[in-house]
Amino acid sequence: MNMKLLLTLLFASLTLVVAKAQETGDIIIRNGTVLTITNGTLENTDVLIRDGKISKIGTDLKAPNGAKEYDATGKFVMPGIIDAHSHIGIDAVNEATSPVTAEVFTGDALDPLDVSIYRALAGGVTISHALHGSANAIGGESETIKHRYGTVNPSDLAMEGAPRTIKFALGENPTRVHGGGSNIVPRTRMGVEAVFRNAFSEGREYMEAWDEYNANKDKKGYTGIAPEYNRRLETIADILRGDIIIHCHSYRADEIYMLMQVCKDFGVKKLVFQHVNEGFKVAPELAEFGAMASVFSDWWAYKFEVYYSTAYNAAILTRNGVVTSINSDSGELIRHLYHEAAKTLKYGDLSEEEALKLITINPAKQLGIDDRVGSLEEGKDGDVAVFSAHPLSIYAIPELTVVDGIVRFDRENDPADMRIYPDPEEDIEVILSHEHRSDRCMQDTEFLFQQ
Amino acid sequence: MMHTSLRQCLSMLLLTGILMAGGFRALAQDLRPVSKSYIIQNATVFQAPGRSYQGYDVLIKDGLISAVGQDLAVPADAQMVEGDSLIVYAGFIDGLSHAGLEEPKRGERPNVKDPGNPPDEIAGITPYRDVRELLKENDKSVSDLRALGFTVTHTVPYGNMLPGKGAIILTGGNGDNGLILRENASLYSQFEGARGVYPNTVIGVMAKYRELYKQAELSKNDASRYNSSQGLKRPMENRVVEAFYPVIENTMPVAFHAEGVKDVYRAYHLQEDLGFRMILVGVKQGWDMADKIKSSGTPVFLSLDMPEWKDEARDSTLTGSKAKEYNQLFDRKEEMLKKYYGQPALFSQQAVPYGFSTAGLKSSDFRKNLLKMKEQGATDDQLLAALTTSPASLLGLSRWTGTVEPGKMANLVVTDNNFFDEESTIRYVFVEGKKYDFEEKKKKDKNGEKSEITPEGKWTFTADPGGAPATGTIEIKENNGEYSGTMNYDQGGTSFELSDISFSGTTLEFSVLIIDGGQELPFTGTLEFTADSYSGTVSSPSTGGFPISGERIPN
Amino acid sequence: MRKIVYLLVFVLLNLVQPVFGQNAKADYGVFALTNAEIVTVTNGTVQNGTLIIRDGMIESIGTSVEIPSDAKVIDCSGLQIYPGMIDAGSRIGLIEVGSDARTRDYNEIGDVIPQMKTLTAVNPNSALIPVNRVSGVTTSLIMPSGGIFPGTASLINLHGYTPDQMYADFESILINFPVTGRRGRWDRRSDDEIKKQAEKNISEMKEVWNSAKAYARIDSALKAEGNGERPDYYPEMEAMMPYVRGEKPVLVEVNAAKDIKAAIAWVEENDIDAIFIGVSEGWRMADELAKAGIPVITGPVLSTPTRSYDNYDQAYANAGMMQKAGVQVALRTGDAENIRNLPYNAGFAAAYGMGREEALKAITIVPARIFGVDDQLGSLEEGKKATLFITTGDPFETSTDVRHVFIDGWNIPLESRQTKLYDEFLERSPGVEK
Repeated sequence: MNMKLLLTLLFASLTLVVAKAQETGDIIIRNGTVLTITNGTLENTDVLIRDGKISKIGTDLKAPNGAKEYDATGKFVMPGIIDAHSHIGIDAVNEATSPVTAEVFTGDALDPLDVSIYRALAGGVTISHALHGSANAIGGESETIKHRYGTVNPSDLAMEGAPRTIKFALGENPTRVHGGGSNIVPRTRMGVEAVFRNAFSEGREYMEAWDEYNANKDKKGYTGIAPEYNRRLETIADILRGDIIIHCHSYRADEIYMLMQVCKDFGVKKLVFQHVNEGFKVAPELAEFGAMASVFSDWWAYKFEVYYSTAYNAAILTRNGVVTSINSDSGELIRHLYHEAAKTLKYGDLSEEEALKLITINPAKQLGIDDRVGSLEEGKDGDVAVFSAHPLSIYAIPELTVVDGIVRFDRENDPADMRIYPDPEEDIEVILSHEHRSDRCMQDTEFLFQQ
Repeated sequence: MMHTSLRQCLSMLLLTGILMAGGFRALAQDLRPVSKSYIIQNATVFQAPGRSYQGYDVLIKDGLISAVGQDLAVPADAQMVEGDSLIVYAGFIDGLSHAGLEEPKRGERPNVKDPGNPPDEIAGITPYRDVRELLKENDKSVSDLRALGFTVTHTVPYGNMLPGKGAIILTGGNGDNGLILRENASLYSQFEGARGVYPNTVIGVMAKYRELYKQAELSKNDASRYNSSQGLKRPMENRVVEAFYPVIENTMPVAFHAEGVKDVYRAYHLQEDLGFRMILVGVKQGWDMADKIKSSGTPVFLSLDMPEWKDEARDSTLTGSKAKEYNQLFDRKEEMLKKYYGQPALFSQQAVPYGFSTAGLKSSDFRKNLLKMKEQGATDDQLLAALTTSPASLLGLSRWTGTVEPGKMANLVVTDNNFFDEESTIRYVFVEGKKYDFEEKKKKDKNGEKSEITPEGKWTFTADPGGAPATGTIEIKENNGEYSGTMNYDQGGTSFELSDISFSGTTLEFSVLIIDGGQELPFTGTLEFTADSYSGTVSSPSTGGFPISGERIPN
Repeated sequence: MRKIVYLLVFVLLNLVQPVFGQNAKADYGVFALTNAEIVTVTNGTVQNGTLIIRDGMIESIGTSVEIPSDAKVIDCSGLQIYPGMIDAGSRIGLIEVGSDARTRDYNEIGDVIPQMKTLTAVNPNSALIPVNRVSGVTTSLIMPSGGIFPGTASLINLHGYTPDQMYADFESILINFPVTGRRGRWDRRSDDEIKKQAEKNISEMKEVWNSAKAYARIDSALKAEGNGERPDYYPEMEAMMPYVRGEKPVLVEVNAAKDIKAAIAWVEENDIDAIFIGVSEGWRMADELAKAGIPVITGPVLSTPTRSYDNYDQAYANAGMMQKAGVQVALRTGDAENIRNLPYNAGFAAAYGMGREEALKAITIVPARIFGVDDQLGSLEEGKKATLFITTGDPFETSTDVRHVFIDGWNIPLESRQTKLYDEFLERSPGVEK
C-alpha cells in the first residue's frame, strides 16, 4: 500500500472517531446538599464536571475557565436518575410476530425527536433502558440511552459502551400474543419454558456448528460449508456466552422461579427480572441466584397476574438482599421516579438512602453501567439532577438536569414548545385522553387483536 | 407479449371511457408521426443551468439532438416547431417513482399460519423481482410524469422492505428500443414493515436486512468455493440472498427510501455497517444532514412531495396568552415549512449535489412546490440543475442526457415562459425524439372572465370500481375561489358533500366520505377537466383507485 | 391506671386481629381521639385537641373536651387528624382486574343510557377497597364511561357491605361532552372526518337534552292534571328529569380548550347546573371557567401534558392555575386500584403552584361542596360524619404513615391484602431450604 493512501485511510478513520464522540461540557454546581448515594450526604458541597466527567467533589472548588456556574445553595444534588425499564425514545417497541426475535434491537429504532425524553429530563432522569416490549418470550436486544435531547441523530442517544441487554417475557403477554393471537406455542407458562429451552438449545448447537466450521475451514481438504448465518441464534449464543444481560418481564412467582431454573441449566448468570410483581414471594431464591429485580412502586390489579401483588415488594426484596430498582415503563411515570422511590418510605419503611438507591446505583448495576453512573463519585459521568428540596419529598421540584456535563433541562429556562421537528401539517389539536393504564410494553401488537 | 398487454390496456381504457372523455391532454398520440426529425426554431435554449441562448434552433434526429445553434439549416425531412417566445430545457430526470406500475390495492390482512415465518411475497422481501417485468408502458403514471416534463425516471416496484430491483426508464419515445435505459439500476429498499408478519417493524426490518446481507456474503463465498473445487457440500439456492450479490460486488447500488431524518440516519447506519453503495431517495428531512450527505458523497434525491403550505393569514382576533401561544405555534410551523422548502437552496449553498424524486407527489403540486422552493432561496439555475444535470450525474447518465447538447438524447421540455416563473405552461415534451404536444392553457381574457375550463356546473359521473358501475351527477359551485360540491348517486338516491376541493389548471381534487351500508369510506379524487368533460380516478384505502368520468350537463 | 386499661384493651384488640385468612372487622362506638393536632380544613388547626366520635358523627372537637366514660380512647400524641380524602372521580368498586372485561362494570352498551347507575354495580367486597382506604382516601365519586350519556355516577364511602351502606348522598348523570379534537396519535381520522363526527355528536347531545326537557314538561303537565297519568315508560328520559329541571347538578366531562369553551356556552345557554370534570386544558380557559362560575373536578395531576408542545409540567400546574383564577377545583385520580395516590396527586398540584392548603381543600371540602355534602363530609366539624384519618404527619408526604381511618364512625382495620402479603413474605418461612 502506498504511503499516501495509508495516510488518507488513517485520517479517514480518525475523523470518524471524532464525529462519533459525544458532546460533553463543563459545569460547576455549587454549594448544594450532595446526595452521593455511595458516600453519604455532603452539605454545602460543590460538584465539578469537566469534559463530561465528574472531576471533583468538595468545597470551594475552583472552576476552570468557561465552565458553567450553577448555584445550588439550599438545593439537593443527586446523580441523574436511571430508569431500568422504559420505552421512550424509540419508534418501535415490539416485533411481535414471533415468540423469539432475539435478532432485533431497539437501538435500530431510536427516536431522538421524542419529546418524552425532555419530559423525563425534567424529572431528573438522565438514562433510560429503551426496552423491547413484552410480546415475545424472547424479545429484542435493547439500548441503554442517555437523554441527550436536542440531537436529531438517533445514534447520539446510545450510551456508548453500555453492555448489551435483551428483553425476555413471561406469562400473559407472550401467551396472549402468540398462543392466543396466532395459535402457536406458547399458550401457557409451560410453553414459555419450552420456548426458552428450545432457543437456548438451538443457540448452543449453532454456536458449536460455527466453532467447528471456524476451526476447520482453513484446513486442507475440508469439505464443509458455513452454517447458515442466523442472527437470532447468534444473539442467543451470545447470551449463553455471558455477553448479554437478560431483562425479563415477569409477574408471578412460579414463572420467575422457572426462568432461574432454565438459566441455571444453561449456565446463564446475568439475569434481571422486570416488574416482577411477585418477586417478593421468591425473594430468597432471587437473592441466592444473584438475580436482580426492577419493580413498579405500586402498580397492581390491571391484569390477573398482578392481582396478588403488594406495594411492599421493593421493601421485601431489598430486605432479602436482592438488588432492586424502581422503574417506570411509562412516559408519564418516568417524570417522577423520585416520587415513586419515595413510596418505599411508606411501604416497608426503607431508609432514604435505600430509597434513592432504587433509582440510581441499583438500576445502574442492573444495566451493567454502575462503574460509570448511578452515584456522584469523581471519575464518573457528569450526569446530575438538582432538586429544590430533598428529592424524596413530594414538594421537591427538579430544577436542573445535566448529562455529560451539558445542561439538558433547566427549569429557569424552559420554553413551552420543546418539539424538535414539529409536523407542519398537524392542524387539529391533538388531545391525549388519559389512558387508564397505558401498557407501552405491548405497543405494536395492536394488529393482533384487531377484528 | 407486449402486444397483448398493450391491447388489454387499451381496451380497458376504452371500457372505462377515459379515452373518450379526453383524459389525455397530449393529442394525436396514436397517430404515427410523419417524420421523426424535428427542428425547434428561434427559441431560448437552456443548454444547461446558467447557459441559455436566445434565438437558437434545436435539431432533432433519430432520437438525438443533432445540432444546437443559430440559423441551423432545415433538413428536408424535419418538421418545424415554431419556437418564437418558447423556452427549451433538457428533459427532467426523476430519482424515484413507480412509473409504469399499478399501485397495489391494500387487501385483507394475509392469513399466514406462522406470522414469524411468512412467505417472501407476504414478508415484502422480493429483492429478486425486476421492475421490468411489472412495467406497463401505457400506464397513466408514465404519461402523468411526462406531462410534468420528466423524461427519465428511476422507477421501482411497490412493496415493503425489499420490493425489488429498480430501472431507469424513459417516459415515452418511439418505442423502438423500449423504455428501459438501464436495468438493474438499484436494489430498492425501505424501512417499511410487512403487515402483521415478520418483519413488521423497523427493528425487524433492520435485523432482517443485516441477516440477509451477511448471508449473501457467506453464501457468495461458498458458491465460489463450490464452483472451483470438488467434493464440497452443495450450498443452498436462495434467490433472495442471491439478489444481494451485485450489491456486494458493487455493481448495483442500494436505493434507500428514507423520508424522515431518522430514516436517513438509519440508512446510513446500515450502509456503514454493511458497506454497500447507496443512493438516498425520497428524502424529505435532510437539512440537518447536509454535511454528512456531502462528506459521504451519497447521491441524494429530495422528495417533491412536500407538506402543504397553505397561505393562511394569522388569526388576529386572539389576545393575551392565547395570542402568544397561537403566534408561537404559527411561527414554529412556518419555521418548519421554511426548512422543507428551503432545503434545495440550503443544499445548493453547501454544494451538496442533489436531484428530486416524484414518488408520492401530486401532479398539481409540482410547479407549486418548485415556486415555493424558489421563494425560499433556490435560484432558477439551482432548480434546473436539480431537475437535469445533477440527477444525470448522480445516476451516471450524463453521457446521454441532462443537457441540450448535440449527441445527447432528444429529451426536451418546451415551455411558453420561464419554467420557474408563476405563469408557465409546458407546450411540448420530447422523449428520445418523440414529440408530445400539450394544449395551450386557456388564459383569462382581458375582462377578467374565467377560463373556459371550469369545474363549475352540473356533471354526470360514471365510476367503475369493478363490477357494477355507479352513476349519478356531481355539482360543483364556486364562490370567491372556494369550491363546494355534492355527489348525487342514482343508486339509492343518496348524496354526499364533497370536501377539500381544490382546482388548479384543469385539475380538480376533492375528498368525499361515502356512507354505504353503515360503512364509512373516505375517498379522494383527482379529475382532469376539459371544457365539457372530465375523467380521473377516485380512490380509498380499502378499494384502491378506480376510474371516474363524466360530461357536462348543459344548463 | 386508666392508661393501662386502655393499653390492655388495645393489646386485646390487636390479638384478635391478625389471624391469617380472616379479615378484621371494623369497630364502632364512641371514640376519643386525644392529644391530636386536628386539621379541620375549614376552621384552622387545633393543637393538642380532642375529637369525640359518637353515633358515627363528630360529637365535639376542642382542647377542653371531656372524654366520655364509654369512649375508647386513642392517644394521638404527635399525630394529626384530617377529614377523609375524597377522590372526586374514580372507578373503584366497579373494576377488579383491569384486563378482564368480566370484572369491568363501568361501561354499558349504548350512547344514551343515563339511567345506568354505577352504585348498582359497585362491589363492596372488592379487594381494591381495603388496599386503598387504609391510605386515608375514604370517599370517591365512581364514574361510568362510554358514550355521550354513559350513566349515573355515585359518591360512595369505602366501607360497607351493601351499596346502600356505602352511598354518600350524591349522584349525578355524566355527559361526555363530544370531543372535537384528535383523540391521540392513534386517531387517524382526517381533520374533516373529525369535525363532522364531532358536529354529529354535539347535535345528538343537544337533541337528547331537549327531548328530556320536553319529557319533563309533559310529566309536569300530566302531574298538574292530577289524574294519575304518567308519560310513556322511557327510562333514559326519566333518569334525566331532575337534571333538566335543574334540581341536581350534571357532570360534564370535557377536556380540550375548544370543547370547554363550547361546553360553557351550552350550559349557559340552557341554564344547566353543571360540574365540569376532566378539564385537562382548564388552564387555557381558566378565566372563562371562573367567570362562568362552573366548579371543576380535574386530574389525574400526575399525567402528561395534553399536547406535545405544552410545558412538561402543565398537568401538574393545571389545578393551581384554575384555582388561582377563581375556579372551585377538586381533584380526582381517575384510577381504581391506586386511588391511594390521591394525596400525592394533591401534593404535586401543591408543589406546582396550588399551595398545600388549597390542595388539601381540593381533596376534602371543595369536592364535598361541589357534591352538596359539605354538611356531612370534607372537614372536621361538630355534627359532620366521623369520616377521617390519623397520620404521623403531612398526608402528602410518602414518609407519612396513616395510623387510623374512620369512615362514618367505623374504625377501619388498617389491613389489606397487600399488608398481609408483606407480613407473610418479609421473612418468608421456610426460606430457600424447606
